[in-house]
Amino acid sequence: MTDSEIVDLYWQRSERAIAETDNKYGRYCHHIAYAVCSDRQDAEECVNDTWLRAWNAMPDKRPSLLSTFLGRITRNLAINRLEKRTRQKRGGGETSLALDELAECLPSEADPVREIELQELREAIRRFVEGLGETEQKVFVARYWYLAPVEEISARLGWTQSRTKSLLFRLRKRLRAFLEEEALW
Amino acid sequence: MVKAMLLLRAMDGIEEEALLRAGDFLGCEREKRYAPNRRRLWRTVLAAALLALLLAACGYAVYRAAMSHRDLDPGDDKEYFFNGLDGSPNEGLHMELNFGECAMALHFDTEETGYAHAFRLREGAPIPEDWIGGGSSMLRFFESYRPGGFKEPEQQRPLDQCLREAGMTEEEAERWEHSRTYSPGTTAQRPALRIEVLDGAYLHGVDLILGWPKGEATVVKEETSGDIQLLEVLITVQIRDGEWDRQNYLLRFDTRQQVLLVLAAGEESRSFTQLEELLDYIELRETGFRYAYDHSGQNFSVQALAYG
Repeated sequence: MTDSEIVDLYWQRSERAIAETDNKYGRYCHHIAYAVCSDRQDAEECVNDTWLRAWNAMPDKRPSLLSTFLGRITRNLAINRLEKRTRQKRGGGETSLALDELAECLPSEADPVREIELQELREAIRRFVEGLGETEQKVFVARYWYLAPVEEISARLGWTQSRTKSLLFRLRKRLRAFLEEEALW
Repeated sequence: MVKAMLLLRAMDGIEEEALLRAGDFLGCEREKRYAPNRRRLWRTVLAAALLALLLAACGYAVYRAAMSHRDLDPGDDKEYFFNGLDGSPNEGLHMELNFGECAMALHFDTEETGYAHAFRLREGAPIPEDWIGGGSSMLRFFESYRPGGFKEPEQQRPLDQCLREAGMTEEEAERWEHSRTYSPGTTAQRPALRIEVLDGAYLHGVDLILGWPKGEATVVKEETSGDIQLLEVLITVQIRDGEWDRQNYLLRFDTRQQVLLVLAAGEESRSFTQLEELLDYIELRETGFRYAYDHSGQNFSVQALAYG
């Protein structure tokens, strides 16, 4: 079933929309949620919540790319869940490592609560990623959007892990400089 | 940590195209139905589909050669057995199957060493004729069935000559060769084949179908309910330069038991509702027939020989 047909089902308020979405994008969303949460049950709940969010969002929304539309919802839900969990206990796995790495790129004074700051950061990240070379972009997005392990990225590129880590280090450095230029630092 | 979390959220600003590219790079499947090593199973299912057609071809040859008295009642042992498998990876693998009085050999050309998977085939009740379409352009008969026992063919002979020796008229042989399809009256005699993967270590239920040197296969429909996966696979194979053959195969795969059932093939797409009806119709049983297959080579090819 095409994305457009699935979206039509949402607009028709047909419950089949959920089943078709789960069938087509369940694994994809689970992959994203699990990368963030590192917990199967949490990931499963995030995926189920994603379907509910999608159900509530359509109509009025009519996403052209259902995969990234759902993926973004899942990822945000998973981050919410992780934040809640890390308030009590620091999360494990790749997410914590990635967060440690990303912490280097932000000033200590930043106030993360304000939505306007987040929006500005989003826009800055978009432009930063857009300006990267093809491989740099893949590596950056793989690591910091999909939260893929360095080992996996290295294996897919046929690189050593130290080479991948070195590239990520340079990219973080460039991101920091970019954020400084954008007065977000 | 909190600030880093903010930045992690801000990654959401990344454009869709970049997400898709990175997702593809990581092998994130946006659709559920494919699993990583599908290529191997594509081959597996193609081989299964080929085998089903191959057996149909043999059955037809037997039928044409007045062997239709062969008992097809459910429960009887057909005495099909696996004769042998030899050869080397670079020379191809050669195996022979014995169908009672009708012998058939398969020759597998492959340039690489790989795992051989064993299958056990079981025969079921005949499929209603309107469920079956087409034959196989991928199979070639170099020798026909000949009564009088098994022996090695001294040389390969033209197909039409073989078919005539199998009891066909010249017109029938010509029609067979050119159309490569089976007449409805004959295909109705074709039993459903249950192909059980004996060595399922490398197989996954959602990994499906084939690699073919000059062809491709696509899962066009898929439904999963519990352990059962229903699939329709469109296989396109180049018969000769500029000429392509397209066949739809309906398959049922039990992901828990690793049992693949090739139900029907034809040029028309079928609905899964029809497939479910067909499943109700079929009664499966074991005959003891065994089959082995090497699927490792990029240049995998199949030739069928039938001789007596």
